[in-house]
Amino acid sequence: MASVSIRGVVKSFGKTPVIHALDLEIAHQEFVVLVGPSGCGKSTMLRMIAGLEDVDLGEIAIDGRVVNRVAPKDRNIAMVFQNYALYPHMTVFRNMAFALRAARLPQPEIERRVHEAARILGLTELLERRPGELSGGQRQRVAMGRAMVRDPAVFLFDEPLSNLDAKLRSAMRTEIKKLHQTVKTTIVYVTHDQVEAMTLADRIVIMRDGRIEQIGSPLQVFQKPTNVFVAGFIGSPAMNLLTGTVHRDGDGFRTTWPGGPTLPVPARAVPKLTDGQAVIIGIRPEHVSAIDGPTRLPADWQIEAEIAVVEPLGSETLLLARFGDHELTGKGDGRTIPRPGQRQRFGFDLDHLHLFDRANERALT
Amino acid sequence: MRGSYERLTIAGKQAVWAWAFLAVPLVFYGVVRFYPTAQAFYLSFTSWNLLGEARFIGVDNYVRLTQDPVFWKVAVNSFEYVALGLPISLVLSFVIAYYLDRVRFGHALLRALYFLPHLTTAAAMAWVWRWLYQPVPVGVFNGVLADIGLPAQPFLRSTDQALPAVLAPAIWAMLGFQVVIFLAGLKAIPRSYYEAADIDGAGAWRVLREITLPLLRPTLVFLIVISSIAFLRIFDYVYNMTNGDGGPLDSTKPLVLSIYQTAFGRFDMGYASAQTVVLFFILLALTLLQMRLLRKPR
Repeated sequence: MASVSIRGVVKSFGKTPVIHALDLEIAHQEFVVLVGPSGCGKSTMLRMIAGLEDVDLGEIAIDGRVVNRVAPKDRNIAMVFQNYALYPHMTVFRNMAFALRAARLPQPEIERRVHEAARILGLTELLERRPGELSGGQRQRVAMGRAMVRDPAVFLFDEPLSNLDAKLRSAMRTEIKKLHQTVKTTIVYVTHDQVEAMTLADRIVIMRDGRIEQIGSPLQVFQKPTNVFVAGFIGSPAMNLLTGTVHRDGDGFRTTWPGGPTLPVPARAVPKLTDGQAVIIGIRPEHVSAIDGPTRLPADWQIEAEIAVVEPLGSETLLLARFGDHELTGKGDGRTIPRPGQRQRFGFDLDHLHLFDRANERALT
Repeated sequence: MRGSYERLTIAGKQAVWAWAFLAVPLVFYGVVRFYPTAQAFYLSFTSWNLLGEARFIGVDNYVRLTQDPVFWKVAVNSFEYVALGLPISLVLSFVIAYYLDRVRFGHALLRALYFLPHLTTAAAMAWVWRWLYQPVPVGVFNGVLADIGLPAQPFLRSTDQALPAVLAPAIWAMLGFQVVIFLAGLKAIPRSYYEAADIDGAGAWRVLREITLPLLRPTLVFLIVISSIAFLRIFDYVYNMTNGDGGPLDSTKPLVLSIYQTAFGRFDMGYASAQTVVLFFILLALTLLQMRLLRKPR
């Protein structure tokens, strides 16, 4: 059983504040991913949980015990570092056994645990090698094995996949998820890659400038971003964000941006809107679809634009289109690929239109 | 000529330029280092007093060496300088570097202070230390001993104490160099190793033994080889602290001073060259042995 509680934690380096009064409750067996751009404080937060950085204010509790003054080794945690931090002069076995030997476990128990972890991670053949003789993915697995043998209360991962190439990264992502399903240990995982966050997390914590912007399941933060930052950060390709205004139109509202079409606003947003309000309009590329041929979409949900850039992905095609001064990314099917300069009809799926107040960047929909 | 240069491959052109630049140091080393070395080997088989022709006498000089009690005394002295100087200086400099590495405040100033003796002229330092070793009222060390009620020590006047007394300033001067090299070695160890060990629950002693020292191995090999050679070739401290004779009773005389006296005191060039050749082989053997012992396992 291990939960992690972060209560009002404040941290600064010299005069530079990096964490502003952060609160976060992580449940037992939960996989929580801290994600945000570099400098958002996510790594510092993780290092404070690990005990590698002091907490200025507030408290961190692991399993109900406040650990602010507890040394890293007594926190019952294990950490996987971005550069793996494998000791280059030791074999894989000795690397994985290091913590167990430090804990003075009997030799047969050490061997049993290391071999067990090696079996789960497919490292049995490599136990006598040194880190220098391993590939990036193998080193990554050894780093995880070193953490696993300790059977810790909490796993901490600090950008563990960022040194791997794209293909290996997605393979290791699956491995980590499998590992979590097997050992069911609480995991706090730091990354700047929102795809990793989406695919791995039970809950995502999106951070910016030392503050939490939103906490939620991957689908919650994707479908209901609470502000412009989260909307733009989560999802690939990124959500289109346009500076526009809303105007009363009978019972409802319509929204538009300079040079753009005038679109009806979904009814759920209506109560929060005022006539002439300055907004940011958000719509994901998958909800701006290229239309070839007949459609049942209402005419005012459609627009024609000039294609600027075409990015075929195989199963679909990303289309960068120009509406007056603005650009919008839309999607076409993979079958026909338009040429730049060509006129193309697009249909908006307005059920998925997001509106944000331009003054405070908070969601209105 | 120009045409043939242009027909060379890119690698060929780079080789031409590399050799052109290497030519100057090669000529320099050939004339100033390698030729005299070869000449010393030749002279060690001759009898020559700088005047007249060198007379070839075969291995007579080497036979004479084995029968010369002063040479054996001198050889033992030289080994003592290494056997004492190397471990003492390395342990001290490692301890200093280990803790200096943790100090942020005044780090640069302290490092400079430790390095200063290394930059100071050996002769000047030797003479200052010579004063420190004098009897009261001049000598500081004996003054301190007297103040705390201990008997005065003869230091440089004693055949037992003179060698360590001469070695002390040599170690002190060596420390600066070793500390700086150790610091560079310590800084090159990524912090994340220490953080990982911290989380893994390793204590300071285990971290030192199993992480810091093994990762410092290249630094250690370098320092052991360089420092052994330096202590084996000790000369200026002995010369300046013992009136140039390695006394009392040859108790501090190292090989290099013996060579110097044989060559430029008695002008016995052949015999001096033989001693030089012996020193050369001792240095070579010691260095090869150390590199083999300290080579990276596997």
